[in-house]
Amino acid sequence: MTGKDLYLGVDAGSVSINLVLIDSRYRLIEKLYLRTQGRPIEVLKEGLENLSQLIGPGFKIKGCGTTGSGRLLASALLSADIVKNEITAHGTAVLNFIPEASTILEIGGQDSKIILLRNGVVSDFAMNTVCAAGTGSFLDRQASRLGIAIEDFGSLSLKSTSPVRIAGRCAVFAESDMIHKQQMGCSAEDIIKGLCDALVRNYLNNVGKGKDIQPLIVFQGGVAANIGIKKAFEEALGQRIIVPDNFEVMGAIGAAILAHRKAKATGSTSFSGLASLKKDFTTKSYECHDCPNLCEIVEIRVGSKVKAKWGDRCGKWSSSIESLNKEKELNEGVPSA
Amino acid sequence: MKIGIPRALLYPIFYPMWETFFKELGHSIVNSTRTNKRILDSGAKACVEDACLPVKIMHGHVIDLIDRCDAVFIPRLISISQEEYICPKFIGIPEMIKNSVKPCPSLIVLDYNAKKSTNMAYKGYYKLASDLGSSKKDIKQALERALGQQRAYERALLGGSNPLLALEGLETFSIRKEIKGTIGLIGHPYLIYDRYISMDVYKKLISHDYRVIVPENIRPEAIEKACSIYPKKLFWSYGKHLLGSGLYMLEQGLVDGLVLVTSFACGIDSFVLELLQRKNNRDYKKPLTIITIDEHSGHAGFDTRLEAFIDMMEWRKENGNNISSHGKGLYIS
Repeated sequence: MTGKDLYLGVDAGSVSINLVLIDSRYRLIEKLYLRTQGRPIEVLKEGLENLSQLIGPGFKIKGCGTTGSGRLLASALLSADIVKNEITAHGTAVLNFIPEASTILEIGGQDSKIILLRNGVVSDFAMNTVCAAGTGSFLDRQASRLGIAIEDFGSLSLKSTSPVRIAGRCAVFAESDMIHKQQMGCSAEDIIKGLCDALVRNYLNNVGKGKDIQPLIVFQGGVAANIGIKKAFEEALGQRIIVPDNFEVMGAIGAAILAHRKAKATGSTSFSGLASLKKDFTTKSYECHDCPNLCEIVEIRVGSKVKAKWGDRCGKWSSSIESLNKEKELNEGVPSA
Repeated sequence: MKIGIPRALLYPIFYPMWETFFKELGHSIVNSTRTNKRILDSGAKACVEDACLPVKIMHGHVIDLIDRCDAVFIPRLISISQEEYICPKFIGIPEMIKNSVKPCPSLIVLDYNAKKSTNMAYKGYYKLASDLGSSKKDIKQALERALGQQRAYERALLGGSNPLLALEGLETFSIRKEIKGTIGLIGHPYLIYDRYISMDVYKKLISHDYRVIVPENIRPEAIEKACSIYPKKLFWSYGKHLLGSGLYMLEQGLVDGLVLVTSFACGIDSFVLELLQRKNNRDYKKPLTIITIDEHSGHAGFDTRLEAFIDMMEWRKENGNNISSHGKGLYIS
């Protein structure tokens, strides 16, 4: 298998950073699902080290794509070929593996989305609005309240005989409702099933409001691991729900597919290599006082070289990088990556 | 007298009128600073908790004008069109400010009520200016000139300009490549023409090489006609304005997609944007997205939604079969 071309996809999300390697026929070669734990750069570094050990020598990474809420950061560190939003990435992955799918339900840590696919393209989508009710963090929070590991949540909910009704509009409401039901003596299984139903109800009323949910329905994202939620969706929609094999890394797979297409179109890659993160990366954030907007600027440096800046509304810092780096190269004679 | 005018609420719509009126009467004008983090923070802190974002922003602009002028001009817009009302929060604005902004600057309140007729509404200007010591004759002349300015401004908006270009001095962007299409940007003027709280949505859309049209570009008669499909009269002026202009853009095939911007907990939008979305889903099936904004300052969530929307538009367009010979979408489920 030596000399094989691979494509790297990175989904830098709020809860996990997912890395995948696919080949040019979009077969999954490796996948890693790592908890972000609030330190995306370190986790990404560890992940890449793991990956390079897993695949060994002889493989060549010919393209890299990033997605997720940390996609800019990941792209700055890796010099990705393509940076794409999560909707396009998830849509691309599903259209490739399950072309007959019409609806994607995706629930992640902070975001939940619904994507409608028609005639082979994304035809409509919606994301949760200002609050995180109906997402993975809601479940995480309630599981820890009940003292139950999130991994056991789904199987426990299946044991419920008469689910209780929990107010699901808001995590705070749900919590007080849940405590009342506990005090009344309801069983943990019934409460957990009630929570699953509440989350699904909330998702369908908010994110899925007014959307035409047609079969085939695909459920993915970290929460798809929870069999209780899958069952609650099946009951609420009266449809069979498919959870794909690699449900937790579908966004990363989509990013890798998009990277392959981009690399094929341009005939080259800007990816800086798996070893690139061995360099010393530092990040710094500060408030820009040049105008009353007081934007929070983030700066990523490799050694003394400023690699990326963002967060400015006016664009003067983010667009200054190219010219700045050229200037630095001239002054210091640093060859370009 | 030095009069402060907050750049908030219906400022982008009526500023030429207000500015001319006061200047003609010999007053000078100070504008509040454009919305920024400090204005948002101070407004949110002073204002009652459950108000919407634009009302909080208004408080921030009033605070910004403290010590910079002799009095702050606060329009109490009760009705701006016959037999219609605007959001009740506008009616209560002077009282909210008096009670929440401490120390409160002296306020000049204009009571503007066009429910019976526009001529009745001008009485508010006479009352306000005679309290400031102007003669009836001077007020009449100032009002005429102000109306002249206002009409010229509205003509410019109908001619394709918008408050960001005409008032805020945003340069018209030269679109780099060929124009990819037209997007209708629908939202209350105090949202979409405030570059800070709208996360600069207008400029972001333009920089994706799209032409952007806004409700202020659509003639009132066309809006009225578009809304006549509903059995009941829409009595909220801005609700009708947003819904009618969106319907008109869809009906006439002026746009390739619609971006609706709303602020969290807006009661009017909860009805009209829903009506617009339903009508689109049923008859036009154009790409449409609703983006809700609140006090967030992180752009990531906003940009993700906007980028996904643009991708979707382009994807559907590439696919080619989303437009039938009738000009209606084929995404019939």
